[in-house]
Amino acid sequence: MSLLLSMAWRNIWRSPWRSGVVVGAMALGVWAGIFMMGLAQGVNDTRTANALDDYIGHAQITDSSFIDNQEVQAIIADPHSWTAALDAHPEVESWSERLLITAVMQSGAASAPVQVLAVDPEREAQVFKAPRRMHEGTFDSTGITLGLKLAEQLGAGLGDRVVLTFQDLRGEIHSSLYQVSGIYDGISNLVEGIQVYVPLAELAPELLGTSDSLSQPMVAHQIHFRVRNLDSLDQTVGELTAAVANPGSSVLRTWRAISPDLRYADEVLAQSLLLFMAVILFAMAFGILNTMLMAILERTRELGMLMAIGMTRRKVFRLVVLETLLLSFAGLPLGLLLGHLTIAVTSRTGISLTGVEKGMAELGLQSTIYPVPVPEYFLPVALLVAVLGLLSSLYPARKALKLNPIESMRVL
Amino acid sequence: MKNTALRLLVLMLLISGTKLMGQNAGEILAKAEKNAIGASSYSELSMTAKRARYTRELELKTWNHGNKYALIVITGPERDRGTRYLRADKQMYSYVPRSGKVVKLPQSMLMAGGFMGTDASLDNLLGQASLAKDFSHQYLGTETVNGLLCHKIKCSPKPGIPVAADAVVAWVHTGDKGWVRLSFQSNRSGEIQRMDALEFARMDGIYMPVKLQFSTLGGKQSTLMTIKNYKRQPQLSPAWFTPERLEQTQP
Amino acid sequence: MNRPKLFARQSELGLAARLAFRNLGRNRRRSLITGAAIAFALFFAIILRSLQLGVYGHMVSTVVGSMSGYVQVSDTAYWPSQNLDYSLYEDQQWLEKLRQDPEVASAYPRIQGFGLLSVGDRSGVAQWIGISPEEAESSLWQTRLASGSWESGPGSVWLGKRLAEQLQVEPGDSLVAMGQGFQGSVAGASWILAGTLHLGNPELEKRSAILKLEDAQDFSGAYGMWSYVQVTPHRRDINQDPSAELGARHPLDGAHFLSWQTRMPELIQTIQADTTGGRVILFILYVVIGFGLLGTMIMLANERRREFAMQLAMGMRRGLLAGTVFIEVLLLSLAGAATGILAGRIAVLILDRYPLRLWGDVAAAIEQQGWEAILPPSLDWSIPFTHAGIIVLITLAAAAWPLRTVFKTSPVHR
Repeated sequence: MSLLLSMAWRNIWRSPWRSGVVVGAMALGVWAGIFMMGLAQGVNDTRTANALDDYIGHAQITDSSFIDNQEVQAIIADPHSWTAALDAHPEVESWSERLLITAVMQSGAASAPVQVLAVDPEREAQVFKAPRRMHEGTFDSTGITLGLKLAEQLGAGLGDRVVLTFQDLRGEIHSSLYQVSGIYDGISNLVEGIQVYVPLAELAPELLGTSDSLSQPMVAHQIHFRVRNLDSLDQTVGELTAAVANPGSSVLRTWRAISPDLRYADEVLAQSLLLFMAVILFAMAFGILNTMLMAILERTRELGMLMAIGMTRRKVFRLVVLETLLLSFAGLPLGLLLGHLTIAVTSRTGISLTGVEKGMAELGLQSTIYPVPVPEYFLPVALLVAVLGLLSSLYPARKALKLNPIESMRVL
Repeated sequence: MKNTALRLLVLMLLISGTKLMGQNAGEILAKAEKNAIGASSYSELSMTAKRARYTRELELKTWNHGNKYALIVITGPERDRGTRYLRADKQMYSYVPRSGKVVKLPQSMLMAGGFMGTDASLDNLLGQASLAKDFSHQYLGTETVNGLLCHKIKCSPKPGIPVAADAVVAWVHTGDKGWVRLSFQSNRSGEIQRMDALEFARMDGIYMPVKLQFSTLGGKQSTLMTIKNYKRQPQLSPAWFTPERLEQTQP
Repeated sequence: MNRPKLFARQSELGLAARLAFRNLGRNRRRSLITGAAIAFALFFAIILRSLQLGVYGHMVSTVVGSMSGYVQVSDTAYWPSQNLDYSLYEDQQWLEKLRQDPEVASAYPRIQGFGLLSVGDRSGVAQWIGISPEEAESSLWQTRLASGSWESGPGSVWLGKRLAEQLQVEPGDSLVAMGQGFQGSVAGASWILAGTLHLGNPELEKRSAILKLEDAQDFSGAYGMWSYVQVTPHRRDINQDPSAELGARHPLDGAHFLSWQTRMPELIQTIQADTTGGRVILFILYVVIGFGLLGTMIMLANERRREFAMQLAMGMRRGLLAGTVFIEVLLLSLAGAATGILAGRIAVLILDRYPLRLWGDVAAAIEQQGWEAILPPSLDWSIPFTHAGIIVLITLAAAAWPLRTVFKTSPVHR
């Protein structure tokens, strides 16, 4: 055995190019696997995060009756118990409360039905990105913020007066004056044409029908919050639910429950990424097979000579396998190192394509991907490549051995 | 299913019945608006709406009580004949003959604008506001408009008044014909909408504008409303306005 | 004499070519392995790219194909307001001609608008869509039926499942509908619920009411009008937009052909957002492939070093030898590319016929929409040819290695 080992060792060093190619093929295979996984995670996370950041949010608390039928009356019974729990939990980054009503908005020239989100602009901008994409003006408490599409439709500009007419909690019809203080540019035209933001502090008293703005109970249809770590969202949600003693009819839902569409899109794309990964692994396997074939073929003469001087076929076979094993000891760690390094670098700088980037930046969409370090995949990928490498070398080895030793020496 | 009642009622708000005395702009407007609250009446109207692609004509009969009660029946054209609406305080109902049922409309219908393809949209611009009480006034002298000599008064909404226009310029007849033109303006674009009283007549003892034109988009869209008949109906009370009445009333 | 030029005379080219052929034939196994490396590289590139683009295409067809359509023929003022007043006059002749166009898979006229549906005290706002009998017979609508039946008399309506639940009606019940009709007229009618529909998207299910085209025209007063004609072309790849061509071949007064790309830019944005990732994946594949090709070339060079030395020793001009090797690589890469294209095409066709299926509850949800939970490949021919070109170029570049060997080998080899 030790003879074989030292022979294998010497063989490896005798033809550095050949060994180098084999090591390279394996290292590359490992790199590809690791980088793919980090990339896939990064792509998934980025896409989901983008969609959530814009208008879905990580998780939401509402009254259960609000979910199906967005009645004005369906306010959260005890918002303070929830906000206290949110403030106390370390994983919760920010939260924002909202009132959601349908109203008719009238400008000087036209009117349109709208969905009004009454929020605290500062809090809202911490939880959602959409309102930060301002076309004109600012997103603040001085007035109403509407989408660009709606502004065009109504012929309303910054500083114009608009009237919102809506039904308050007692069923009375109210009209309120607002001044346009901001126009935002969202991605989805559908949303942009319908959603407007007003300061919660102004709408709440009108909705409640009270004029006393000092002793304001907290009124909200929804409370959205954002967590620091999206991966542990479910755990955070569980802890929050436990922390609230008496939720009554209010429910806490994650984005998966709120937007099943997004969840499905997410999973479909995740599954397709796995598929692509498989294709790359196959490509890699064939690459290694091919390399090995060539490598063995190149040595036909040498192997034939070994057999001619008396080495048994079995021993020659083992020699080849041993060499492959030794090479993989170099190739695999090299690949892991490469994978780790490339992910470490790109997870900070991000990967972006300049051609696509320009159009995307205008839309505020992230086209930069940040791969995620995936140390849990190191071992599986390395093993996979090692196995593939070994298997790929078996076939050529066997073929070479079947040759007549004399004939193989004659090969030029 | 659009709220014509409110619209028409506010319109009635501006019918002047008394002689004007004194030059105070606020008083001028207050008198122009005075007759309205509590008025109960029956009227027959026709409306012609001119749009970019079509012109639409409607004939209606309406019964009104104050601001919040109205029954409207469409008598023409043939296709829409018999369709009727009822507003009783906070409830709205409609009846379309081809469906054969009285339908209660959701509250949100109370708030929408634009009646049946016309743009009689005074409602959109003034809502419940009163030109006399909720605006501050600037008297701008006299001017001849629609063939009549008028007081020209610029009205600016007081703070917080839910009116979308930045200013309303009103021309009120120096005689007793009442208001002749209202122009709704925004600071950025000038005149956005306009209401003109084109003809006046005496109906059931009251002198009122009987031909009104609402125009928007620089005149590209307009609605002409003609009052063909008007009778005071002091006996009408809120109790008269019921869904059963809606169903029974024929065009 | 030992000039580094490749082909001294024209006739040398012919000589080199013959030598190349002979060399390739002499060592079949080696040639086969090298050619196979190229062919497989291309094979995988084609599969990856076709699947990537196919996923996008499938996503688009799910969203676009289900409701709004690939190409919409409508009045020039119709989009985006979708105002009922801006409708087309029916033109059956034009429609027939459009349907016979070889590029058109289907063309269905529709009329749609908004209205209020009510039953007793309950009411809901819905978008009503009048569809033609041919469209109702298409498999898409047939599979969407959740309860009741498509066979029904005039004055029938089919509601999205959730709308029916909200109104608490079942097939056989009657409802009242009213709304703004054509040019401001009042639309009103009494309808019988004939069935309920799975529409996948809960929003759609809450506010969709499907009618027969004639009933819808009658309801809205838009007699003899269509809101738009929904055209589905045969070529449905995401990069393709046949609307301009179709519009030129089948003009209709006052109307234009709008593609989904124009009407739903959000979809394009979503795809573009994904493109970066897709391209990086493709890059990874090419790194793996590229190295495989390079490795093959290196091996090739190594293996033949002795052979080169011998030929040089026998007096062959170095340039000619290099030229011969280059032609060998060229021939191999072309042959490999051709094989790769063929194999790739077959694989893609197989995947098209027997597509890979999604798994998990995602699959069930998608299937509820009436769509298959599959990952279909794109059949665009530009994919195999583009990548064949790339791979041939890479291979020729990698040929620099054996060429370098040729130039560096001394005729005397140990």
